[in-house]
Amino acid sequence: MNRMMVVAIQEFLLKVRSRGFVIGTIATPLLLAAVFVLPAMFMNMSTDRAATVVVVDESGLLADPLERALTEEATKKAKPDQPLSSEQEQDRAKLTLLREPMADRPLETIVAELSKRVSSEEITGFLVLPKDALDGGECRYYALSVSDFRRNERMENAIETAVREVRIARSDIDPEVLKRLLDSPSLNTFKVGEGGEAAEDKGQTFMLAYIMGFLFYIMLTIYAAQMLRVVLEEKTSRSAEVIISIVRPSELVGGKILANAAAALTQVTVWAVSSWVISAQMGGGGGLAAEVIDGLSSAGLSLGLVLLLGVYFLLGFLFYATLFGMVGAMVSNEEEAQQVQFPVTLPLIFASLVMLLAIRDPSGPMVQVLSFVPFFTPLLMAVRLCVLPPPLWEIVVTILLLVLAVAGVTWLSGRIFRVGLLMYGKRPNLPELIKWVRQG
Amino acid sequence: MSDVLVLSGVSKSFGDLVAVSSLDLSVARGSVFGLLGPNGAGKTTTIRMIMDIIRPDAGTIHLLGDADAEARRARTSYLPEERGLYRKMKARELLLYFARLRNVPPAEARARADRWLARFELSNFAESKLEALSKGMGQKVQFIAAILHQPELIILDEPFSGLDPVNVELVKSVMLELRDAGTTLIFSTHQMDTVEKLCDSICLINKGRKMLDGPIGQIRRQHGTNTVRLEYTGEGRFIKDPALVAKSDDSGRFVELVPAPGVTPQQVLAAAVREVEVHRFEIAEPSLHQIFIETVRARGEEVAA
Repeated sequence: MNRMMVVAIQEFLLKVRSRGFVIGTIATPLLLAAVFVLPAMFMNMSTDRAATVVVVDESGLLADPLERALTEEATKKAKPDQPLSSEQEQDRAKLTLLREPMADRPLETIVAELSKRVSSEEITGFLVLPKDALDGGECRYYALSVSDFRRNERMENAIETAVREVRIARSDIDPEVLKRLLDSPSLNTFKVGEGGEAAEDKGQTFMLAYIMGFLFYIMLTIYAAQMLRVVLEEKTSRSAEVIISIVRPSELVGGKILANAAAALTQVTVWAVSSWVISAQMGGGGGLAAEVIDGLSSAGLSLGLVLLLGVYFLLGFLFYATLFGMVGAMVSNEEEAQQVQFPVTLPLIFASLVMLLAIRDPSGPMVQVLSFVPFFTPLLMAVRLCVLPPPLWEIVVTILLLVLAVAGVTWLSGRIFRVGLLMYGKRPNLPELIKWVRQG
Repeated sequence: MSDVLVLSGVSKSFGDLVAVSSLDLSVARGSVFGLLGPNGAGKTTTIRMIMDIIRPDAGTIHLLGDADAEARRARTSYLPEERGLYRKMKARELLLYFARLRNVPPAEARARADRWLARFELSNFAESKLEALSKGMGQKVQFIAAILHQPELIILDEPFSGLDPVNVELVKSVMLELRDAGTTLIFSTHQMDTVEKLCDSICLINKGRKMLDGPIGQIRRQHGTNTVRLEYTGEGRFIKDPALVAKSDDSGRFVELVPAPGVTPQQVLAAAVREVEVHRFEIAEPSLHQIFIETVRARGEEVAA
């Protein structure tokens, strides 16, 4: 067997059985679920306790429509073809409205009285609708706790509905006519394919491109960057000298890059599958993975596209992993590594920013030109392929350039590794680096 | 017998520091060759150049009759002084990994690994992670890794440092067995007693220069079988007589000296008896230790002068 493959297999086995990898693989989907799903669950959970709200209607016109709006509001908000969810039902049941007669008392007295009842927790709160409520006057809600934004929103919506209803009733306009006038138009997007056929797109393309670009970025910044520590580890543990008397430095580092790429794909696959399972279990509560899969199938993720994405991923990974490995061979400890890796991380970060532009304008001049620069090619082309397939010649040329770049850094790294792996202490400056390359 | 290794005119500098200066040496097939020298003499640099880890500035190195890099990897093996281990690997796993990299058939590799682990009393630690082993045990695992693929030439940089006397003997006896089986061994050390028992030939280097080399017996003869050791009381003027004594190391009650050319030890004794009271008289071959110190010191003075 090829020595590089022997190194790759051994490194892969060491890596996947390490405690860090096992914990990371299992814990991350759970953590993600916790981060994405739990807050949504808590936000939508109805607040337990029943509420009693007193309405003080100075205008004398709004109390009835308000009560109607509040009780009907949940019904209206729900999609017409769906029954109320149990949470919405509970919500409606739990809010009790009481009316406070004005009885010619001044408003201040009533507010003072009701405030006392609120502070003794006899009632949850009270709502004051002023005389000029219909003409934009300020309505007020008093309660011990006013941070339940869902209740505040419901109240506000109900007041708005009630005020409109009264205003319309007072005018001569036919409510049916008004409803037609106010009906908002809708805009749906259709993606036209290469054959001219159009398919409705509900944002899957954006989702797919975004997630693909994000995935590429994560894989490069996390996994390719690990090569720095892998090579540095070989130096600090002083195992380099033994092993490079057996294998060529380029075989050693190449094997390690392959092992890292395989480990990365393993981990991401486990994550993808498990997050899909989790979100399926939660009835679409997380939804992210489900949306991705929806997006993948409906955004025309053909076999050809997958293969192309694979090519860009592999080349990009090799390119960046080799660069990070080179940084590892040049430095002697973690602190130095932090400084020296900056020139390598910077283009990655920049590419992730341009990527956002590429989603919106995939064939814009800046995106197009930067796509040919090997540092940016993987991320930008991944996004462009998802959004709007670039012309064939661009695909061919970018891949060729990236292949050349990979060959270049591999050649360079072979020479750097040869000297760097056994070099301890002082960090080389640029002239020394050039000497390394020329000697190697 | 052909030479497995020939160095001619090999030099290497690191900046202003001359690590090795026009070094010539040759190692015969099937011999045990000792590369000796004080700390910083250039032993490790020389070995690294032989292993093609660093390139010489000048000179040529012929290893195994100019075998290409691939053949060298298969037929040689190297145990560096800085013996880093893959800490997360298990002992047996490391041996099998290295064997696989060197194309040893798996079944054969397993059999050899188990045999050597037993020989080095490591069978109980075969499945232990290397980070859990003591330094000495780790070193033995590394030694096994270096010999498992039965190379023709084994180069060991300071193989005995860090081993207890029992394990030094164990490693020594294995090295001799390998020599008897036809393997060439080159090792560096500054443990002179080991060199005397183990080496067929040596090369002594200091400050990057070769001080002396050749078969051990020959070196001893060159440095005179007529060293005289004398324990005495009295004023030994004869010691300073250049007609009688070529070299001396006098500490007042004990002197080690080399008679002048043409002078026999008996004549020295006769002169001594006339002047001082002799307690002990001995004609001895110089130990390698003495030759080492003497040569290093003499050349040092030469350089200083």
